[in-house]
Amino acid sequence: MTVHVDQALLQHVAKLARIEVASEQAAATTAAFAAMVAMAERLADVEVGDLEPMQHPDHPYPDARADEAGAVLPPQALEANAPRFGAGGFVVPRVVE
Amino acid sequence: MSRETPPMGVLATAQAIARGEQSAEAATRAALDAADAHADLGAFVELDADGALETARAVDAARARGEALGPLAGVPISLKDNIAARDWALSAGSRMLAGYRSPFDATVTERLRAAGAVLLGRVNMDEFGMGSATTTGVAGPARNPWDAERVAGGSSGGSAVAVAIGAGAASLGTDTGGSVRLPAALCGVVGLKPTYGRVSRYGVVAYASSLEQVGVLARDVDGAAAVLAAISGACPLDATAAPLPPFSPRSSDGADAAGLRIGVPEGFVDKARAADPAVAEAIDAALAGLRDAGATLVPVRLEELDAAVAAYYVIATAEASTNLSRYDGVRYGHRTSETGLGLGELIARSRTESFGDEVQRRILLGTFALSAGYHDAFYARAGQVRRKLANAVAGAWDDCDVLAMPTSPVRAWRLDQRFDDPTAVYAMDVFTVLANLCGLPALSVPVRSAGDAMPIGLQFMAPAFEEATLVRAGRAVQAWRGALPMPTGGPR
Repeated sequence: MTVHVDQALLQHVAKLARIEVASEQAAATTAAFAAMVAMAERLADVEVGDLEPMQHPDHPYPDARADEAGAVLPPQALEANAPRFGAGGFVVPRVVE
Repeated sequence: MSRETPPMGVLATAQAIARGEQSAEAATRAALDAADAHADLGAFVELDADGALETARAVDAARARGEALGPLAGVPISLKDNIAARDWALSAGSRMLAGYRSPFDATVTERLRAAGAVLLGRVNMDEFGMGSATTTGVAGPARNPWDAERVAGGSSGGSAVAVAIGAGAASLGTDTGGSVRLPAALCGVVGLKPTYGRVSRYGVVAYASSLEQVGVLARDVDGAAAVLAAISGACPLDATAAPLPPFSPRSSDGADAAGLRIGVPEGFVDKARAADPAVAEAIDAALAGLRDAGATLVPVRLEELDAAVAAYYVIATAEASTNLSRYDGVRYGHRTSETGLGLGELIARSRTESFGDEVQRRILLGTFALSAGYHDAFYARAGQVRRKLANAVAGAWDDCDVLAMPTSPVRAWRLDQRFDDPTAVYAMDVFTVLANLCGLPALSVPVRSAGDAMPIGLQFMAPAFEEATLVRAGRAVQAWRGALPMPTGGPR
């Protein structure tokens, strides 16, 4: 698969990625992105037949532990890292007007 | 920065403290002094001198009371800045996490404390581990202790520099595509990446979850093994940590190369020869030395090495794009100070303001590889190539105990070298990504350089959970090689 990388594709992917690409950076970012995609296109040169994709190393994994609540951090420990905290909860941006 | 006496390694430090030949406080002060003396190399992001000295004094007091000491009691160790330590800042080298302080310990941190280690501070890294040179992080570059105008390698460059200058006997790094082994090779220290699942990842800032492991950088192979023994083992807080007991080095293996079957993949050393002949010469000389010491060199055929880099970067960036989606300025991370934005704009602005260029590029590639119309040709196919590579490596174990290859195709490059094409830097990972794709353990050991003093690493890979075989091979290299000089420092 040969992908035609242009600024339109870059902006489409950037929107999906929730990244802003400023217009003055678009040409350089597109060039770098095109080089990365070209590298990835080399995968098509490898004969893979119907091999099952490997998503994790094939090592032993533990059985799922019991679904029981364990120790949790006190609210004060979490509050310290919140951008805003008030009335016992995290203050987040308004999403519904 | 030459020293006549190299700083002690992990085992020598622990033994000296246990025997009362040196206090933990003295060992810690020496490490802190080394960090201060070479602050210009950018190894540390933050030192916790007070906390380290407090721990050291507690070890000395425990010894004075005749209490049993942990295996790493009093040994100064640093942590890469993506490994959580309670009440320490944790930035992962990113503006995104500016101001964050961890309210808990990573499992590896907790285990180091339990073993009696003295935690020195946070060391420098590439942003979220994304880099091969420790140049993309918010703290600025880490500099090579052998030539400060050259890179330290990455992404655990701060760890490698800290160990090389004697600012701690060991350091924990993380290795997603070579990030422990590459800086170890370029700075002349040992780097050990354990088998996937050997070490808990709980409390480690995620980059690519199916590839990364916490690893150890140390002055010698046995020091790295001792730290691995302390941090490894099953963990109820990480569902990918294998249900196995902690690693235990087999002391009976000794340092004897006799009988060791070393697989040498055809064409790998020649690939380095084309990039940097000095690397190939050093690897050839080391392998010849091991053969003379009784090892058997076995030619092995492993194809598709170049495709390994492509597969790695597609899989790693795809996993990164999902792992880093949590940083939206709402649930996690920096929030833009701009007002009046819609939610989508707020998220995109927050991410764009605080992720660096390389992280943004990798998120873009990963998002692309997972997107409709491209998933099968890129992400799924990368998984198939990964399977093919893993099958090929698995087949090699019939004929050999370890695979040997260069760690890096080149010695440390200059900090001012420009790479307009990001994939030119990715090519530095050509020999290291294989172990991550396959989930196998790998070790980088410094070898003698025939040319200038810039370090060169020989890498071994072994079957899953066979770190003890790596330790044996690494000991054999050290026995053949002998002691190495300390870094000379400064511009060459």
